Amino acid sequence: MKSKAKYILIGSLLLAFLVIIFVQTNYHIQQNQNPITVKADTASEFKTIDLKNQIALLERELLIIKSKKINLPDQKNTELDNILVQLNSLQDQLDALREESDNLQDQPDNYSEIPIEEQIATEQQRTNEIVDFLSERFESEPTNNLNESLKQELEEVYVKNNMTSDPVIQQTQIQNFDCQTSLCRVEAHHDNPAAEQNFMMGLSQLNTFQNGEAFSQRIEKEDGSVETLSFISREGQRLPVIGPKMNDS
Amino acid sequence: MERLVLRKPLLNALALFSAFTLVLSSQIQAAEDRKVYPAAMCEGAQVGNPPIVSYQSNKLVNNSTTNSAVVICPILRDNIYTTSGANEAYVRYFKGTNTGFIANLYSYSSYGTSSYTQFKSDYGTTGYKLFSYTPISAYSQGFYNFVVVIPPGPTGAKSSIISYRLDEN
Repeated sequence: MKSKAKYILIGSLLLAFLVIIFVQTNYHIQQNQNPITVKADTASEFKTIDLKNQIALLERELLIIKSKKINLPDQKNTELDNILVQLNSLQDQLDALREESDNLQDQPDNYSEIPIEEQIATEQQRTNEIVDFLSERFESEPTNNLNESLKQELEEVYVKNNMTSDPVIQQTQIQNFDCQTSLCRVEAHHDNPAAEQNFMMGLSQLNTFQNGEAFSQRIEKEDGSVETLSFISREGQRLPVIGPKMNDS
Repeated sequence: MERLVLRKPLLNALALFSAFTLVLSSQIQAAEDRKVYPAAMCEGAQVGNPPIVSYQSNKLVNNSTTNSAVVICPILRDNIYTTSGANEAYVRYFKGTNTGFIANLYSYSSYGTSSYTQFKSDYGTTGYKLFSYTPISAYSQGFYNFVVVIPPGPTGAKSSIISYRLDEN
């Protein structure tokens, strides 16, 4: 009798496994093959579906456990207590997933509903935070006495010798340039975005900035010119990283 | 919710099975964020007219003997709201000459008003090469791309991009 119950239990487990694999596969196939019926901005919807799938899986497993429990004799065993802890932990996870799923459903899901002015203001606020952070780091570093030679390298190697001979690409004027031990700060005016791109590619050619990192704030003017403020880490240095503060919504 | 009281060792297997299923599920989804892109996805930024680059099924070649070609290689971002950025990235390329090969990784804000950049340049020997990038920050709903300078070279020593990869966090 015991042996029969064991076979029934193993059979049920295998069946549950097949059902789970089917649900997983069906979900991924539907996600990949049905782009027409999927909305354009569905990040939280996918997450909600994902959470619902996980909830369904956990519920199915709990139901199986409950149905088998009825026929099992009581045994005092430490391992069983451990299993009980694990199952209760699963129950807690299930409750947490339900709560997260409910929260996601309540959230406004479409970023495009936020006015563009507000989106840009948020972006600029974040950029200003990063600039302030890097400025503070820059100011706190010891001054480097190679500024003049670096500036000369910038002007001679790059600005006067653009990589391309395309006449559309005009000049870049360096308005302010300063280096400390690990960071450099460059303010520049570019006649057009192509000149800006050329300038950044040129920076990466300099020995001073080889394998370096940069952060650039850019302001596009009505005449097509671009003003940039860049912080660049010197060779062998990494750019300091500010913590995430921007709202993810 | 009612708490369960269970007494049967065979349920060990069930608990392990549950954990295995959850782990398997999360691994499947994490693997989907890894992508390798063919060089044919890159677009010319400064390639002249007529263009000096040619697209082949396995690479993007600069055919010029005198001018560098600048191309932009887009990256599809899946995890659009996160600010944790990209974990790692590669550019695979062939260097035909000793002239510098450059591939900078950009992480732009959602409206492109600011960017993080990682510079990579290679002035070394010829052959198949790989640029490897360290983690880079990101804006919520920003976007990534590579800007690559492919140097010119004589016949038989043409430089090219082969593929690139970026793994999101």
